[in-house]
Amino acid sequence: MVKVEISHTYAFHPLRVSRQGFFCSLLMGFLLLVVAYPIFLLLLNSFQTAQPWQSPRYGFEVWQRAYSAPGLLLSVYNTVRLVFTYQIISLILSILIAWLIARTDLPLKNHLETLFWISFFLPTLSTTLSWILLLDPEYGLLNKWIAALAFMEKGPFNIYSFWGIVAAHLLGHSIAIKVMFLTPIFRNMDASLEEVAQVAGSSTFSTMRRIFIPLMLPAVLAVFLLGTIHSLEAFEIELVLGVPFRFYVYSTHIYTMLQWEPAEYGAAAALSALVLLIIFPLIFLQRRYTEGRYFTTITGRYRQGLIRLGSWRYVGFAFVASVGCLLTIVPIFLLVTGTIMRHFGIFEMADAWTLENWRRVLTDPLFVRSASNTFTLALGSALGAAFLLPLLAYAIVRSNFMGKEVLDLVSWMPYAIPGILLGLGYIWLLLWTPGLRLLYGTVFALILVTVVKSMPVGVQILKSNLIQLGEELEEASRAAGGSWWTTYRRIVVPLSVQAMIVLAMLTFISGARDISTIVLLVTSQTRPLSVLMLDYIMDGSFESATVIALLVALLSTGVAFAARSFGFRLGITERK
Amino acid sequence: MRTTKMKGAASRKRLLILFLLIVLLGSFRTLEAQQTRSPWQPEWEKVAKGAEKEGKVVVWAVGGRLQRDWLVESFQKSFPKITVEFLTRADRAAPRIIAEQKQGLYLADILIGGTNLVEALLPAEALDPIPPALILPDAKDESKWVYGKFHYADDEQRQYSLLMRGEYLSFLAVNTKFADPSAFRSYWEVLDPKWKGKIAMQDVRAPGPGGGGAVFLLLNPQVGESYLRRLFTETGVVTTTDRKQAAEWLARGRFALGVFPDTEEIKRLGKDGFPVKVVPWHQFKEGAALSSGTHQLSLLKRAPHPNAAKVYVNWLLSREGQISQVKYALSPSLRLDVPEEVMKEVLEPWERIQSDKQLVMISQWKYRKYSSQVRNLAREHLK
Repeated sequence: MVKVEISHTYAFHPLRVSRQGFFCSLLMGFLLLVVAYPIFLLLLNSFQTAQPWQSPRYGFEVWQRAYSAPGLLLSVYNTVRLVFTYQIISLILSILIAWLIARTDLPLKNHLETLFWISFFLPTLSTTLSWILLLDPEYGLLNKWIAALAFMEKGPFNIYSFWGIVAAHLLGHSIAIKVMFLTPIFRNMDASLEEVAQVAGSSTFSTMRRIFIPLMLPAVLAVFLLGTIHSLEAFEIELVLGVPFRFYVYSTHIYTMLQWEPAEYGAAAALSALVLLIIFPLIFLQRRYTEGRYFTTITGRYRQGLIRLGSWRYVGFAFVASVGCLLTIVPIFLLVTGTIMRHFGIFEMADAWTLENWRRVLTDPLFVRSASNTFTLALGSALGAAFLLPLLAYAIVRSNFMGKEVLDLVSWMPYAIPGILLGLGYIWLLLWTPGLRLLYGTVFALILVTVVKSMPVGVQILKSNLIQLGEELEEASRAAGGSWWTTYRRIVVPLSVQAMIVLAMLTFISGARDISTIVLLVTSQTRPLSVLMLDYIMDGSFESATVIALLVALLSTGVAFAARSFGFRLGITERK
Repeated sequence: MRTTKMKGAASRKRLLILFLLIVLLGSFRTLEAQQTRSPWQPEWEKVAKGAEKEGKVVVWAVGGRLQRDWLVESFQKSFPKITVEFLTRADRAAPRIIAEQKQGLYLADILIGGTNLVEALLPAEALDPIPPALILPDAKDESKWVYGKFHYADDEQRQYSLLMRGEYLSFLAVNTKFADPSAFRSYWEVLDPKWKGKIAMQDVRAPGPGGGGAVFLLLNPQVGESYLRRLFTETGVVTTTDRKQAAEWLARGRFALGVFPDTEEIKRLGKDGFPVKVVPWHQFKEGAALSSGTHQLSLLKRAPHPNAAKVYVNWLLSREGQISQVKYALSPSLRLDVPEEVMKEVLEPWERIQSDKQLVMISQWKYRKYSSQVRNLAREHLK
């Protein structure tokens, strides 16, 4: 008989802190410093009624002015109406598309998925302008073609309308980002769960409704939440399409205040606080729903498989391809042709074509350095996010750290704050915090603020992925003697690599494209292409700015393709 | 009888006397030159040498390729050993500059921006006076400027924000398919009910011609506050903070009239065949004002490159610097000796400054203090 002695060296000690607790506390401290503190400074400043050069004096005048602005209530109503309309439509469409791509035997589905990535890389403003070109009630090409028909007096489309704005969102990033988010998560579904339902006689549609969607609900909720909250801050489409017919939303209200002279940072922060107040109960509801339930789809007996659609696969292909092409072909065509036009979208003028825009950009003395800065910033942000955010998501989902709800809440906060306000908060953070001042004026400051801005999306993507992983996989690792770090590195990361690739890509594009978050922090040494693009916009040379937008899109697409093929090789592969 | 030896000695003597005369003459010339050497020259040489040693000057400006061509490329052609580090979005820079200086960081030398920026920075004691930095006679000579003097935004102290541009504020541009530009003779005609719902306006609360233009209308005895109220409430005016967008709307016929238009953009669109035209200021019987917009020069406090900053300021205010402003930034200068051939390329005749008339410099603080009244009116009435 073997005598087993149990070691009692690991006795309870009131002052002993577990490694996990120590790490999570460090993470909490870091998050509070780089996320909560600058936002706190912004909100504090919103109560400051004295001028910046005077001694601080606090009061509610700024908040009163912000919340009593004419038209605010109407803009809130417009926002709710608009956001829920296009979020629900895009959610339904994107669930269907992601399911078709991830779970079925759709032909050429990897290429179809790529279309949605490409759509996401296209700049919002260019995409919107391309649809204006087609759907403008007076000058839109589509309307003109229809009006030329014998039985039509005028074209039926008007992009300067409520439904025009909805369409612009759907045809912009709204569907694309959801497909990007959901597809890798849908791919992680264990096929045996669906097979069991089908063996029991359930149809494909019924299986989808009763097995698939409930299991995917955390991811679906997360993406709905992300989309909704982001909509509260996004303003470009509403600015271009809504203002001409006096349709204002909450985000255009905030944006306009930041354009005034002097800029109303305090009032904008006060209005952003409302978005924060909306976020917290939504997050709470999301956590309540997901806690205590199991959504595991990847276990030790995980098996990937595809649902055979039979002849319906061609219908599915046509549907997904149509949507993908609609999201990409028209905007790409306009983006490329816009770079060689004298006036964006005006084909009928004399001398409509020119290479002057390319010449102006490529001979700009700042171009090469800006391009290099863009690559550094985007890559640094992607790597920083790929390292930090999975750890944060892991701490939120897997740890028993008592502050993990706080971690979750804080990770959402950057989404509520417009980029330019966050940049201002970071100026104060870096200048006023000892030790951090070394980062001021460097590319590291830009990387840090970009990673922070990407945090909500990145953490949610990883959280949704982690929820799918069965805990027994990690338990098996620990039982075999693996440390926390070994388990994370050798079990969790390979199973999450595709989600991490998506996260890294989103952060890369954010770093390459973002202007508002970094514009106040940029110096002449760190100026990226996105800020250089501003120079051209300020001169009214939108076409030259389009050249830069195209170059950034090409850069992002190239890196994305490389990352995707790398990620597909590393992660779970489909069984053919 | 003179021997060869005696002849040789005589010619050596003559040579020596000639040599001494040359040396004496040269010495007199040198002395004369030193005595007539201007007192500014030694100082300028010292500053220029110091600037080359510093190697760079850091300039804040609003941005744009045109401004870069003027403020960076032109300067560096004249002073190739001094690099210009160009920081943009000066219109949003005030909180950053104040925060930096409060922490003892003095990172930039020169500021070229609008009045709002200086209004924020001066009370925060973030600026240094300009006059002590002026060395070159060409830069210091006020007689070359409109009305024979420098014009400062800080019109009482006359130290901190020097106006360089003099552009007539345009009130109106039209789409010629819907409106005849020559028909407008008074600002009040824009309030005609036939234009209701057909007017786009640059938001007077945002940086741009709208703010200064609205102040001018407010203070003009023939126009006044009631006009602004009616403009904001009765015309169904649609506002935008994006001047380019407003110009594009006008060009595409979404609106018939554009109030406080971006003149450069309208001219550009007009040249490209769009049916848009700016209504010249002199058509309006109530007159117009001059604005410097974002071409106001200031020296930031404790410039990190003081000599380079001085060289830069002197160049900017010299004839050469002002010619560059007109040529590259396409902006009329308040300096009067810019050559005619340069002006003709860039400005319409009605855009030239008529220095024989008394003009309102709307960028000056005595007028700008009414901006808050305009903003409050806009907040109250504009949706």
